[in-house]
Amino acid sequence: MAEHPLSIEQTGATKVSSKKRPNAWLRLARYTGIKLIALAFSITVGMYLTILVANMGGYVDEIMKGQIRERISLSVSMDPEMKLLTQAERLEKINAQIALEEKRLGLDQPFIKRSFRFLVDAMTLNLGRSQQLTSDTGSRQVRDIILERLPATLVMMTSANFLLFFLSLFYALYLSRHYGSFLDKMVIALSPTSSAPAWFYGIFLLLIFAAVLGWLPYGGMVSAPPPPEVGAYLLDLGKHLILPIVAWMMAYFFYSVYNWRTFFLIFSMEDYVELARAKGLPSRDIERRYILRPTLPNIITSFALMLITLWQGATLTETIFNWPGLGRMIYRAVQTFDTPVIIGSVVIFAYLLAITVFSLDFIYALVDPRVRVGSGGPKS
Amino acid sequence: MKRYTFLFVSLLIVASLVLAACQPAAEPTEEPTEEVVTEEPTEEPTEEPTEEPPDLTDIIAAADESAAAAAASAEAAAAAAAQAPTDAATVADLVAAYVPVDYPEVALEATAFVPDYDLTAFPEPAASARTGAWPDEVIIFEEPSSDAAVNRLETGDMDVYAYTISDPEIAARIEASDAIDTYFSSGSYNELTLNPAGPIFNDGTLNPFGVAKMREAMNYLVDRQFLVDDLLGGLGTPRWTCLNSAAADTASLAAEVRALEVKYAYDKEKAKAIFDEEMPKIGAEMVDGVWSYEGEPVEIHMLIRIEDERLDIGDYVANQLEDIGFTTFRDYKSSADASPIWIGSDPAEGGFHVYTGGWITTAVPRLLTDNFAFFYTDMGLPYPLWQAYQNDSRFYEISDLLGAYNYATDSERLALAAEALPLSLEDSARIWLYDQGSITPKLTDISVAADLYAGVAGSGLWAQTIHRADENGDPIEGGTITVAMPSILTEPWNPIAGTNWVYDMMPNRGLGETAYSYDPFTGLVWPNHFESGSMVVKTGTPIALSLDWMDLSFADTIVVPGDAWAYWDAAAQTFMTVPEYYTMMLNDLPAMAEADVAAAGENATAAADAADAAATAAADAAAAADVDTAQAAADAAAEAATTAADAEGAATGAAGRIAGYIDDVATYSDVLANGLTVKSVGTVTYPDDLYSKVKWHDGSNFSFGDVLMNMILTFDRAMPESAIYDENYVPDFNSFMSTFGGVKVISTDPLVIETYSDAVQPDAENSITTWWPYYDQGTGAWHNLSLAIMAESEGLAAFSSGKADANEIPWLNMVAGDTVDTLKTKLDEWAGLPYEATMGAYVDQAEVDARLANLAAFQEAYGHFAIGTGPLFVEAAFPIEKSIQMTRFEDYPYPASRWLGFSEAKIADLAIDGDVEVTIGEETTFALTVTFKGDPYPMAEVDSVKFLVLDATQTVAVVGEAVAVADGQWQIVLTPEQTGALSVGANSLEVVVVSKLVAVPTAGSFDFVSIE
Repeated sequence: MAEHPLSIEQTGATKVSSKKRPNAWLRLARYTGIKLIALAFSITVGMYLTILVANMGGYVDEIMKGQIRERISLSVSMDPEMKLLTQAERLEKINAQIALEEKRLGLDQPFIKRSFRFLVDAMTLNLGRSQQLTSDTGSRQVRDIILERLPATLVMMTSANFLLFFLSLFYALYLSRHYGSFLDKMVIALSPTSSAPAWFYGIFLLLIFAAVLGWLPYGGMVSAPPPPEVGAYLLDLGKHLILPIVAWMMAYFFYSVYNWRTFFLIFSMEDYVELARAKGLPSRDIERRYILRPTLPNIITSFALMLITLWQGATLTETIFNWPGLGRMIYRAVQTFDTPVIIGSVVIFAYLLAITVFSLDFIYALVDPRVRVGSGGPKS
Repeated sequence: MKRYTFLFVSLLIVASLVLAACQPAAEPTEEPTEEVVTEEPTEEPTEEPTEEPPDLTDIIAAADESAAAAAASAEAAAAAAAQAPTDAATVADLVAAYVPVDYPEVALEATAFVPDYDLTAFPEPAASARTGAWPDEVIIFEEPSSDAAVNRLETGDMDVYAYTISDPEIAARIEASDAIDTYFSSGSYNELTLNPAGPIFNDGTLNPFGVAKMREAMNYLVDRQFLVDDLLGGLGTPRWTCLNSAAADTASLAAEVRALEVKYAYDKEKAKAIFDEEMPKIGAEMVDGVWSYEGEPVEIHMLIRIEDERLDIGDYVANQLEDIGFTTFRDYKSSADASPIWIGSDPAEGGFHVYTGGWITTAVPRLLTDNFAFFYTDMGLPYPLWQAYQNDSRFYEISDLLGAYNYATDSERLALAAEALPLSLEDSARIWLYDQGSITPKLTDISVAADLYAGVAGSGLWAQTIHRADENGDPIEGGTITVAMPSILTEPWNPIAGTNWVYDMMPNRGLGETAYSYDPFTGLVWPNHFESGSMVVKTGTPIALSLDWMDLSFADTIVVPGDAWAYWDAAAQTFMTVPEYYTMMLNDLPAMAEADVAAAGENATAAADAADAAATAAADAAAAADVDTAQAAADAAAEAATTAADAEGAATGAAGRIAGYIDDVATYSDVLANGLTVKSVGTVTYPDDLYSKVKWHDGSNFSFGDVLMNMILTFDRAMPESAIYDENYVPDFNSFMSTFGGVKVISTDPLVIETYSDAVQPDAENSITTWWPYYDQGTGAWHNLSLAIMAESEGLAAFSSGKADANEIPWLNMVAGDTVDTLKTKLDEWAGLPYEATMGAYVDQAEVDARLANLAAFQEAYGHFAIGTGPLFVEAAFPIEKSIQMTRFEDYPYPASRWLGFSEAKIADLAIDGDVEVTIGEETTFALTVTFKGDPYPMAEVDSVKFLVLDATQTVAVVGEAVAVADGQWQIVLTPEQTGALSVGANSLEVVVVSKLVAVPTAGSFDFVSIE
């Protein structure tokens, strides 16, 4: 880093250099095109791998056929009314029902054929219909299933992660200015608390604040039945959010602060920062212009990636707090081999990731003058 | 450069995975170190699995064989096709020659059955001014965690957790809590499924369980009481037979079952001795304490399920087997992974030796003696495991008789079962372990009818009975009761083919109800909406009568009347009578025969073409210069032979059907001339005030139109001509038609309906058909269903998941979601009464107008279309928040106290008293006290009190029945002859009390010493 001091002079040189290159737009277009192709290819490969993994290379067909056979055979055989039929009649019914169910799930077609259909649907964002799951309101459209769970996940994960991100960021900045203080030492001491995940703290929080003290609800998104008025509903929602957010913060706050603090400390010891200090610039200016600005790409990257991980929810934390989010939905889809739902959630994540990665290149260039799109990396 | 490297690697991965995916699915081989030496079941494995090039001569011979087979198929197909027109002509001639006759009217001559025992009367309810549900409101919500549920119960955050908990640790917490009480239920049971193939598997390895003696020995090797105590924390009952512990049949066969329990008590040394004797007979030898076969240890492949306590069972059994000299391979698998192996693979392939099986019964079983056929014989299921069962001839014969209900009386059935029980233990294709108990926790002041098998969640009377009790135990009117369940609103609600999740069905049963209610303790039905019922069954049909509301008669011949509805004309939208239906079927035969003639001809041609192709390929193989070319030609010949065989099957099938039509002509002609005979006719009579008393939740009066809609939908959805045809319903409909004779509406007001059928349940009460509009998945009125029918007709939604998926339209949800809006649109655009040609005769315009107005107001108020006649209605459903608010239906007609008698299972307590020293050869008397909650158990409510005496050698010395002295007082007298049969030593008197009110027998024992 020390080799790339940011200065007005250098930025100006960059501008001059740009003017010497009349094909800059062409280079940008070429870079963008290649980047898009590479990302599209990566998504395609990733999606097909997901399809293969989710279906165990086609073996899931055998598993599902076995389950269908077992379920229908046993339900027909154990039904008192069916016991009154002859064995041949029972068998005919079993076979007919098995054939219908296999047809419904597409198991009457070879997996390899279906795998490419899954891939085409995924790449064109035609999420299609689920095989097992239904949305809470009863729809079989994967789009509905995901969209219905998305708000719940966003409410919890966004609240928790935004709080976590900004609190830890600013607290870390503060600590970087108070290196070696009691609070700094406390953060170092408490950072191992992140070795336990949020759901672990969730169990204890529920035990203390719901079971023993009875101050907060046991879980769920709202009370049953939900308050009819909007204001009361929001208050109720907020009350249900407290424990999940606290659990999330307990699990990741100190670790995150420790991380950022170390990061900022490294930057605050750069030569140009020392020079600025030597010049007698106010510490606020140093913090804002000499520490925060050069670290902005990292902060933005971290923020952007945090944003897209919200998409996946948090399966165990959602389970502990009985939160109707995407994490639990994806977990159920995996359990029931519901390939369209798995693919649907993965492909959206893949596209979000690709868009983020693609956009970040441009954002870096906007916020950090040392970076130029299509140049292959920072200029030395 | 890095980009290109990434591109290349990615391509490589994709290509290899695509290739891998193109391969056939891997066989679920469990032992990666063990190679399959040869594909053929040769006795001696090849020493070195070297690959020898196939012999050209063999390839040519195989190709010739395929060509010959194809030629034979073509010849057979041609013969069938040649015969087909002749038979078709015969069919046409016979139909043309048929002279229509009047359908006969045969009067029913029935003899009433007069029981020589007391029938059980409905428990008289206490007077109650309140109607419907006791609470004003029931809130149902989701709580997936049993642990959290117990916490919430303890803090009063909920009243009932409608889930059957079997985790011993949670059960212990509940037991220790003062605030929580429980309902006990059973129904889940575990066993060891033994692989009966062999004793040599196809891969040459040994299967000891291919020998019945060693399967039987497994009974001694398993300590069932240990499993119950250690794994279940005592929450279970050891079990030795295929009969559930809590069932009337088990109580009836208590002596036989007890004798087997004693005979097959845990005895590891005995098990070892049997294996030591039997293993050498199949070529095994003990080497350094380990059973070996052909130099290799005999490894028992334990297929162990991982989801529940079967994980520990598998480990326990594996340990026991290792203790007696076996090595084991513990193959831990989930349901999904184990299913293709235990149920899908050929047992001879040796995919497993022992599988930790689990079963569940969700309702109190009325009859269990068909379990012998299901669990032990090839009559059970058409899968390889069942088809591998080979039984003792007498056992198979008895199982067949019991499985096909081929006996005349109940005592004959029980005698057959008594004979089958010891034979089933000698067979031991399955080693039964225990019946697992479960508990449904609730606060101590809450009472609700809990099913003995399905708990509260599966109870049909939960909504009618749930209440909070005051200090005196009396129900409190009003208030709110909260019920949590592991999941809720999981799938769309619609009564025809909506959600079938047990936790969705519980609120559905509060919303709507059937015309009868199942007794949660016996599994028999009691009238709910109807007044009386009667059954006339064919003389000789085994059937039992237990309750006093049912009249039972026998008749030698039961003929379906000519004006009974037997079928539905979906095009005309009218019912067809029996003669109309059979005349139509008769007249359809020539056209069907012609179609089959064409099919036979086409398939014969296809078979001939395939035979030509096979011959050409065989010739190519013979002329081939190298092995590869020859092999390709031989493969082509084999493929052609398969095509020819398929075509032959289709051709002969078509020809066979035509031959069958000739028989059908005779059958249909006979029906038209002499009447359609069936095994039973049931008559249900509804009360005079039915239509004014019973109301739907939207305020509409119940009407015959609701019943009629049920009759129509029973048929219409299975008819290809129907606008709501659903192929997914066809298998159910075919099963229905295989026993259905006809239905006759004797009167619409009061409503009296006769149903003619060949389906006769073992209990007369449970054989009644009511036509009440409670469909497979809930209740529906004609008017709200009409909206759904319109939506499905227009392709906007579908009742069934299968049809919705096939047409990529929404699965109909009447309680929430977008399809509610669809139904609202259909209501606003009312297109007229569906099935006008039939419904119009019974539903007038005034009723239509009133109902639509009521439904619109209801939807406006509550936002959905899920209405019923039950004691609770859905005030609001919150599918995302996972809760339902159900409110008491004030117009519900019946008193809240009506079903209170079913709030608690009357399981008897038993105390035995007598001399602890009995002199051999002298009479002795034992006094039995049978009580319920300290009060004497009335004699009239006791079915029987049976006893047996086990002597010092644990042999059954005496079997008998106790004698009633007074309510709650019974006596057993052992005569001098009976005590004289005892030897000196310790004896045990085992007593079983069987109640008429509850299927769970009460057992007790008393130890005494016999002296000289």
